[in-house]
Amino acid sequence: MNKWIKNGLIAVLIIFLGYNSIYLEKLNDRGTKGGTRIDAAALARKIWQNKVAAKLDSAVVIDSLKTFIEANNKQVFDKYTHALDIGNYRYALVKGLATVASVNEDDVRLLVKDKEPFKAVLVTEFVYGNTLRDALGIFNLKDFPNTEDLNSISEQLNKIVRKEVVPSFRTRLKPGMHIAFVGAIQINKAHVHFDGLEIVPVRIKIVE
Amino acid sequence: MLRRIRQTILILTVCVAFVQCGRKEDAGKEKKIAIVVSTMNNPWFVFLGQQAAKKARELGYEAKLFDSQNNTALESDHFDNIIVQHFSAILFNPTDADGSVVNVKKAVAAGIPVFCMDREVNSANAPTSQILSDSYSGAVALGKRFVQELHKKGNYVELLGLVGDNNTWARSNGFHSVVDHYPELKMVAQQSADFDRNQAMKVLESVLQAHPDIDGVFCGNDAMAMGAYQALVSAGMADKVKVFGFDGSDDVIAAIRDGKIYATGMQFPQIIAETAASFADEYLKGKKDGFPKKVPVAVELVTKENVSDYAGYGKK
Repeated sequence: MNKWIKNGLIAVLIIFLGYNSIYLEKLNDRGTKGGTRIDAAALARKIWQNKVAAKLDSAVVIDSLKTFIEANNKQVFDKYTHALDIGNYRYALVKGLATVASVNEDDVRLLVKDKEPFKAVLVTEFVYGNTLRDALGIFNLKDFPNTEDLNSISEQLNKIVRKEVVPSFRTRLKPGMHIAFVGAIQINKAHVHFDGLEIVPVRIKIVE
Repeated sequence: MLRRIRQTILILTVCVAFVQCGRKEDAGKEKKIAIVVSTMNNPWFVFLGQQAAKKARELGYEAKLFDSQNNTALESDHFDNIIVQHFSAILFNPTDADGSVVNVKKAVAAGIPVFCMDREVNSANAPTSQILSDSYSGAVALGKRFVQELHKKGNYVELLGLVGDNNTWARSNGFHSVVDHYPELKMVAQQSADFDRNQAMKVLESVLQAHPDIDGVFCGNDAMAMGAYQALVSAGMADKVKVFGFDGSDDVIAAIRDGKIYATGMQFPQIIAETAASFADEYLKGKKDGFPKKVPVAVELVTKENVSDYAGYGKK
């Protein structure tokens, strides 16, 4: 009997130690640890209300930007574009006039007014990445040692565009309409392609 | 008399030789940079290491490459040797975000600054600076392209890199930050293939037995993308399944051109390596502060539309 109790206690002890010495976690849970340190949603909202509105009028006119860049004016990138990463991607807040060519499931195709009008894409579905965040030119890497915070700010700003800006104009647009737009763009300074340029909408007005 | 002259000449020669040895050793203390790379089994890291060594030599330093073979113990041995041999700085591509921290701290305690390249260590202050591809943002762009190519629906597999490398999770999280918005896109398997081509081929072959109906594969690097593509060719599914990589290697750029792989994220190891070497040079010339703790390097999306703008590991 004593032997049974002894063996039972040993078995319980082995099970207890074994259970507590092994920790199982799902592989896809590994990458979702250590969330952000800031309230990115609140910060993005504050930026949207206090800083984005103030930036709209200072956006560069898109046909001027195109002319400067095509004239091979390298200084234009320093003057009008921003980026937190080093490399060839540069971002700018631009404004201009365009004609709606088509309204599609994921975007609105435009013909942008210019000396030589060019095609552009107003992004309505796939608003992701750092285009808007970096185009604003208001963030400094040194203020954000945790890059997850910066990524979260991008996500929250994009969410505002998808959930609030896009619904405010999308259903009203029809082919042939003229619009005035302010939006964010990404330019690869090593290979500049304006034709088919993607524009993240910030403010869209129908021009009668 | 002649014997004495000979002896004097011999003594003088020995003295001069000693003095010269001493001078060389002193010069070595000032002018040696160690480049420690996680593995030389992957061409991407070979290129990174070679570019770092090249830039260090251009800046006037002696440069020596160390291969850690993805082994933190071997990496630790390298650091011990580097400290004993009085290297001036270390350009470091870590094997493990957590496991490599102790090596960085060891070097810093010995007065050797460490500049991380491409992979980070989980220590905000130990390295002087960490120059890293913006993997998260690169994967966001790939995720967006993935959703567009799969028309927002279908089954897919994700092949992860080394689970101890932060880049693995930055890429996975960036990808999912887009793809998870589309409920009709279902991930049927997520497995690690350790950034290795053969491992990726084996893993996908095994996954295909359980899930033969897949539409896309997202791979954490190009080596795995090529392995995945091989598995799909063997299964007769290469025309149906869309494969996405990350790196910008020669073979994947060629595969995108040939329509075999759909997209990759182009990293710029030359920019990473040269920035790290330049920072080390500035540090050794007296600038001890003011280096950004993290320097993100943009990752560019390469697709069939713009592949003509690119060559392996960079731009044409």
